[in-house]
Amino acid sequence: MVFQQIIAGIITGSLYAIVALGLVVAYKVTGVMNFAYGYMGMISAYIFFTFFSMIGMNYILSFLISVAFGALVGYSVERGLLRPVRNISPASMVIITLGLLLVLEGTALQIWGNNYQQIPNLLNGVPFILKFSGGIIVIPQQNLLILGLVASVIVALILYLNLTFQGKAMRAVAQSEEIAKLMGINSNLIMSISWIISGAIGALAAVLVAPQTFVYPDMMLNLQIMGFTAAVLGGFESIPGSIIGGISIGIIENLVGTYISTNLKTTFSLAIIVAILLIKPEGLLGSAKVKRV
Amino acid sequence: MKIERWLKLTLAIERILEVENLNVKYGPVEAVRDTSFNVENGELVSILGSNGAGKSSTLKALAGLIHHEGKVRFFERDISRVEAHRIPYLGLMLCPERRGIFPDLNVEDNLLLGAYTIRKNRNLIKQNIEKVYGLFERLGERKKQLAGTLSGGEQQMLAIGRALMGEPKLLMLDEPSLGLSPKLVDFIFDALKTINKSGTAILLVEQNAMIAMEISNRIYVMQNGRFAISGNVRDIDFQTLKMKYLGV
Amino acid sequence: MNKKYWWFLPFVLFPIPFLEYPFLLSIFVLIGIYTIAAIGMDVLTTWAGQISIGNAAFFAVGAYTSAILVVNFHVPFLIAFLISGILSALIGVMVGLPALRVSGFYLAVITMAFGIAIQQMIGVFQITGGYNGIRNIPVPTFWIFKAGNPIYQYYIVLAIIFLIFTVISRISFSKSGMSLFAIRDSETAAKAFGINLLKYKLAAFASSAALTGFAGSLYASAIGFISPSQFDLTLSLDLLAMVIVGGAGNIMGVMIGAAFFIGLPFLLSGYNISITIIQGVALILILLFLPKGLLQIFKIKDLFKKKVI
Repeated sequence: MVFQQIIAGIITGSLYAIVALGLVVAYKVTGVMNFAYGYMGMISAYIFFTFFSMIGMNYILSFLISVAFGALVGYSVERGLLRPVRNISPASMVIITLGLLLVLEGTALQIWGNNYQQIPNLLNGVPFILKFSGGIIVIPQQNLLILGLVASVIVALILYLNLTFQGKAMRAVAQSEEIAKLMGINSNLIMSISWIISGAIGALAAVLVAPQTFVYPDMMLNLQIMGFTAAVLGGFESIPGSIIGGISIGIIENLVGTYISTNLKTTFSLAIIVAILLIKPEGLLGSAKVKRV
Repeated sequence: MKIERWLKLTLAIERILEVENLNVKYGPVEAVRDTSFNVENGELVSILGSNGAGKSSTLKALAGLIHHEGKVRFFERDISRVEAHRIPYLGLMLCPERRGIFPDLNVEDNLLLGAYTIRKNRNLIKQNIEKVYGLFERLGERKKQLAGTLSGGEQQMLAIGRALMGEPKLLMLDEPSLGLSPKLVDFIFDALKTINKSGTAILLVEQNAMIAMEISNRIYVMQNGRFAISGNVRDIDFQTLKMKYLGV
Repeated sequence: MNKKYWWFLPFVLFPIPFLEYPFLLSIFVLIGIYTIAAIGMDVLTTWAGQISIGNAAFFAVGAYTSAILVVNFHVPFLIAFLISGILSALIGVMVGLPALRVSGFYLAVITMAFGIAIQQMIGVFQITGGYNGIRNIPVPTFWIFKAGNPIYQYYIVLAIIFLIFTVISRISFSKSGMSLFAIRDSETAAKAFGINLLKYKLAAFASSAALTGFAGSLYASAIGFISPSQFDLTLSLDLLAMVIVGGAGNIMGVMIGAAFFIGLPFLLSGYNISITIIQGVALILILLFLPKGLLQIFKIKDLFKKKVI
């Protein structure tokens, strides 16, 4: 039933969108494309597992602690690893994040091991059922939670960036760090804040997806790739771009998975992104920029 | 010393900017050599010179954007080692070369960011933004327009207006006439005169010596990183200036 | 013989003291195989200035092509080996055509996705044995000669590396080679000089894929068993790390990198430390503090003047 798949696609798409957002925020404000993003989130998922399953703490409390931890990871990486070496080439920055990926993966392996850990959904009740002339749509409660949380975060981010002084300052730093400083904006602080936000978002995505994927070191790989794909589609530039990119990929992936094959989802999504970049190398919503020599 | 207390004391000071032996190097290249100058309260001082003379570097050094040797005193407070983002809080604002507006933000947001240093004071911000719209009507007509889509002249107005939002004591401008039609240049410089008359000291860096001299009290002429001439505008013969120092 | 080829001599003699230790020899073989793949990565980064984090895919293509041809179709190893490289190169071109027209960042994204996609695809189809992989791949056989003893495999791999080195040396001082360096240093300037960027980047990409594919083919026969889990993202990152940690633009450097990443797990197998953490830390530290790689510490670099670039 097509509508069922589309709704499911929107749900997964919203997760892709939020990962894309986290990537784009960090990239636009600090210029770093974070290839370790999913793995940063993964560590927070393990923190959730530790507090909830191992210690026995309340679900919501563990959730909040994990997101806070994600913010801390974001801050630490920016402040401790990236800021000291701000002047190296973008390519080298990418490699550093790749090194970080290995370190995070190894750390998870070292502390928690290789096993797939199970995390239950928060909401396990009767699913939402929508009956209409075309048929029936079933939406599990957890999925509504995901959609609701993601939507809230997106709205909060939009409000922050557009209505608060600090948010506008962040957009200013994204456009020109030097001129932002001329306004009295502490660009270093803003950059740290952007990574705090990015880290928290990554943690949120990881904990939300954990019940489906189980918790293990590579758990976020798929979400990370899809998040990147969504960001690229959106031109790695804006909130709307990331959202549209994420939702589109979510829907397409689900339709492909249902009607063609579940196992080749990544392959088809890759094919799509390649096709789009062939036509428009800056991404669907990106704008072409010529680089300086 | 707390900023507020210091700002009150500044009311009594006459020499608001004192630069001693300023030295700016880009690697082995000396852009500014051993340069000294000052700006008094309420003055409009211009630094003139042809391209590459070192004028821009001077302003950037004062604003804290690039590393420099030498002493810079603002209202008798040594700001030589103060970080760039703290300097606007002291009352020193730079309007950078090529306008430096934020292209993906609209006019209003650009102006609001100019008021970042006084962001806690909503009323003052409202007042000041109305003053800017009064000075530059065209900006008022385009409040929600993206700054990147403005014309060159509008962008310059925006840049100046933005710099005024925080009520700076000294406004520095880097080549405001660049790329503007003569009519616009006249308009902008009239506005600068008005701003200066209302009490804001201005330090101007310009290639267009004629228009700058029309509104300045004193000028310095920079050549190869040093001052070749300095003095009151009244005492300087423009023709000699043109021939000897401005490479015309 | 040209002076730059002399550096091979020590490697020819090197394994002789270890003839009694086939296990050690097989580790050397493995290092050699990964060196070939790392040379492939080096070609891409040092020549074309591109970052790929999906080269494990070509390694897998080479390994599986070779394994399937030899096991299912009884194709002689040499032919399977060559086909592996060629097929990888073709796939490299297919991926490179769209991927190389976009910014460097996006290339990294695409190659990352590509690597994962290939790994997934391998696990899905029957002919590749699905998630269980292919077992009992025979040692490389050349007519009647079976390279069973690791020492034979060692010399085969060494010969291949020598061959590669010869070819690369020739190319890097030709017009094509020089163009590639120009691209690496400044794309916009190269464009201004009329150098067809895409053609050269594609050539580098295809060569990189081919080399990695060849390495994969050797890998399958050397190890005897392949499965999708061996060709994951970590492998792609390791290949990149070998180049960075060992020393880019230099076969000696790349070999040091391969030795570091392959040898380390064996050296540390007794301890309970995660190798991955060490690899990640090494990558970061070397990139920041020893940008020319471990090669810098070994002053023998000057002795062996076989810098290709």
